[in-house]
Amino acid sequence: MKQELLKVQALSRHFGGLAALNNVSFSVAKGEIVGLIGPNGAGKTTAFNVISGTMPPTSGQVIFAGQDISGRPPSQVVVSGLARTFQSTSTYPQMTVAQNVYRGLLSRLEGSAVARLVGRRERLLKPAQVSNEVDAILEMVDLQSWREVAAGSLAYGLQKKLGIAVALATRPTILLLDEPAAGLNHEECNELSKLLRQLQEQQGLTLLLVEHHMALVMELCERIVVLVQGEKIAEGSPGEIRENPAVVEAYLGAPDYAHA
Amino acid sequence: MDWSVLLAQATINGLIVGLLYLLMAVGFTLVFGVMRMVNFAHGEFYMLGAVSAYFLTTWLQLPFLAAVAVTFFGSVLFGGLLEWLILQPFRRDELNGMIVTIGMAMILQNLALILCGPDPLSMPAVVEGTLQVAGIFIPYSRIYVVFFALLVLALLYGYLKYSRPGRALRAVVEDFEIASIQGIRARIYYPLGFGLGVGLASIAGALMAPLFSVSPFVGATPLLKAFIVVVLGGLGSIPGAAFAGLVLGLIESYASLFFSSSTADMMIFALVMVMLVLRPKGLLGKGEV
Amino acid sequence: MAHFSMPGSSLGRKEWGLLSLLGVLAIWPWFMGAFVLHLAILTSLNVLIVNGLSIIARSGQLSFGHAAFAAVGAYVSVLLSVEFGLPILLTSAIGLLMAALVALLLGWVILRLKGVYFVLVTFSFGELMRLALLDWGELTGGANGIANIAPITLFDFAFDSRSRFYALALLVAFLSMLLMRRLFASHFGQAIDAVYENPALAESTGLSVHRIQIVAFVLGSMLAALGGILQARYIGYISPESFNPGISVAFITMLVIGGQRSVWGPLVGALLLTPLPELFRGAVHTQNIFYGAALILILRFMPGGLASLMSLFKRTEDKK
Repeated sequence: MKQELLKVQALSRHFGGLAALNNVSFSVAKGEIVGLIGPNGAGKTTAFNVISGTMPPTSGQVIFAGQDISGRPPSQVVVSGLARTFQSTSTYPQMTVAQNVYRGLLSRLEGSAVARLVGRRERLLKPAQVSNEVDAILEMVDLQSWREVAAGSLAYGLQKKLGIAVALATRPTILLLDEPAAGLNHEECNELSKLLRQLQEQQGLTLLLVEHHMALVMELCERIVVLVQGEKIAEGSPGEIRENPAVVEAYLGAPDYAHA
Repeated sequence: MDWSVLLAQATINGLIVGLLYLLMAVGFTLVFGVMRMVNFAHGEFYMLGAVSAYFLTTWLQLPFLAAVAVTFFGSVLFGGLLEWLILQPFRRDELNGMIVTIGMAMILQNLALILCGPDPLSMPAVVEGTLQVAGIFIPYSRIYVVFFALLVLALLYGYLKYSRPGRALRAVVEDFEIASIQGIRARIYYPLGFGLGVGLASIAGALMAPLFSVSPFVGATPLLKAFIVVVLGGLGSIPGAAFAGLVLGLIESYASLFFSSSTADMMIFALVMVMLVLRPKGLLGKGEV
Repeated sequence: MAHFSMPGSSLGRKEWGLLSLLGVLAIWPWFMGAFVLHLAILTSLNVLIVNGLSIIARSGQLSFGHAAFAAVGAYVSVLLSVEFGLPILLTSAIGLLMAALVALLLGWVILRLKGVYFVLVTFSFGELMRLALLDWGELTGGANGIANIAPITLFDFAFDSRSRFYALALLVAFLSMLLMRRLFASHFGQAIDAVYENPALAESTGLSVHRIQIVAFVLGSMLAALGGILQARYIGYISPESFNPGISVAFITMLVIGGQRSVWGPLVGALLLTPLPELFRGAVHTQNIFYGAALILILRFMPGGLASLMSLFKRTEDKK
């Protein structure tokens, strides 16, 4: 019943002799929150980089909203509506929060050279609306009070929120988050969970998370995909995954799992 | 003319020039491998070698070989000192470090201009006469140079392969991160790598001084050649630099049989550009792009 | 961008003061005779060319072949007027177009390279250009170059005296400064800065790093070409050595000492480094030693260049 938004099909990525990703397939339906988990070295970040266009697949396809986007550079993938956040260095530290968001929506400006350079025709923004749009994005992540603060002087948790805001400024239909909870304390993590839930419900966003923080994943995600050494070993609801013997074995001894 | 003789002569000439390029390039790539720095001042150390050899033989009346040896060790020390004093903050800062070496080149060249003036000085020949074998002419002075260049290379090879600091240096060149992890105090090897690298350039200049004229401007061409060789052979690869140095000497020599020198030069720079775009690692290099 | 405030888009009072000072400085050569006018013209042309270099640098790439594009502009426009007698505006337009085309084709291929590799390839391109100009002697005059280039004549007004040409050079330099200011306050300029500051982030928000760098490369090279066109008509002579890699290095020096990431950088660099060689005629070597030392010291202690000192005087901080 749910419309399939992102489909990863037989995706492989090799580095020399090493298969970082091997024949991985899964899909994300519109409006879902899906988690991508696995022990270190499982290939989660590689999967992210291939899906978002940072590197091309060695074989396989990435299909987004019915279009094959495999191998397209990130700036063009963003035009289709797929945005991502980064684990680190996800802001322009010397620019204010507002300027950061502004740079995020730059490529949407109607009639601008940057929009034309990536062939954008949808979700355009009129230049007169820039200030309002910046405010709207900041409101989504509750960063309005820090509007004129330099990004580099924000607390770590707020910087991560800003990273999400910058990605949201492209008005994506799906948002890929790379370890959004990394380095957050308990309270910040709860806030993040609430924020992501809000983005799903109020903005109709679809979310795909790579995450190590098991509690967050179990609580937030409707479906979970498990990668181990570049291959998908399990897929299902949080309950199913928790009881899956292969998953338990892969995580045996991993401290994160013990907290879940 | 007999083509086989022409070809043989061109081969001999090419190998001789190739040896010179090899010396320049190995030093250049050593600096890049250790410090990730493109040393724009490399040609000026060649020039310093030539100038030093000139002054040591004509003013201090040192025998040629002694002059070359003094020049080498002096350059290694001088280079190491410069690295420690000036280049230290730019270790691993590729772009700015490179511009700093441009500054160094300007200083070195103009110091030489003040000391020697712009006019070329000619050194007395070390050896006279020409060897003639099967229609091929090789001046003894070049044989002399080849002999000592080979000697230097043999010593370098031995040093890099068998001595502790030499092996550590190679490790640093081949993989800086792994070398650091293995506890090799890479910081000591910066001045050593730079000093040794520019020392090789100085030896090349000193050996070539009796063959060509000596002036503050002689460094420009060897620098260009070093660039070319290192790009072709791979930035950071010592065997690559050695191989490509000889290859370049041969290519130039053969090309001069068919093309004008500027056409040949053009083709080579076009080749360099193509290599940088298609295979930046060069034929044998390992640098990340 | 009606309601959104961009960094650096408003002029503080101190900036106006500085501008008035510059205005006086700009007018002063007309009262000082031929030699000062000559220096002022060369400085103005350098401001234009180094502004072009600055655009490229601000997108994250350091071009060591900038002089080659000045050569393209100069040779194309001069040859067109010598061979076909075409008017100056037309030959200049074609010269600029050729430079843009070469930059587009070259940039498309080489801008994927980063850092030192881009430096080496642009340096090689500069040397290749010099060799080509030397080699294609029937067309370019080879090592002898092309002499007796006619001065610019527009609507029967000939820019054939230093005094007149300075007016033109000054105007062009001023317009190039204005262009820089407008560009980096505009959306596209913000995109250029974003691409430099965090290319991965910029790319992930729809700013195509590769394509934006290409546009910057084309724009910057066109400014260099314009400088070459004007220089040819002022000096009256061009040769492959007028645009050799050493000249490219000189432009880099001006940019670095002046300030790579400031709108004022190229002006400061050109002002400082153009007149000095002519003034230190007897002690040119000492002066070059000072340049080398200045380069090293600036990179060590003031990587933002001399223009970064201005942030000490400005009320509103321009972060770059």
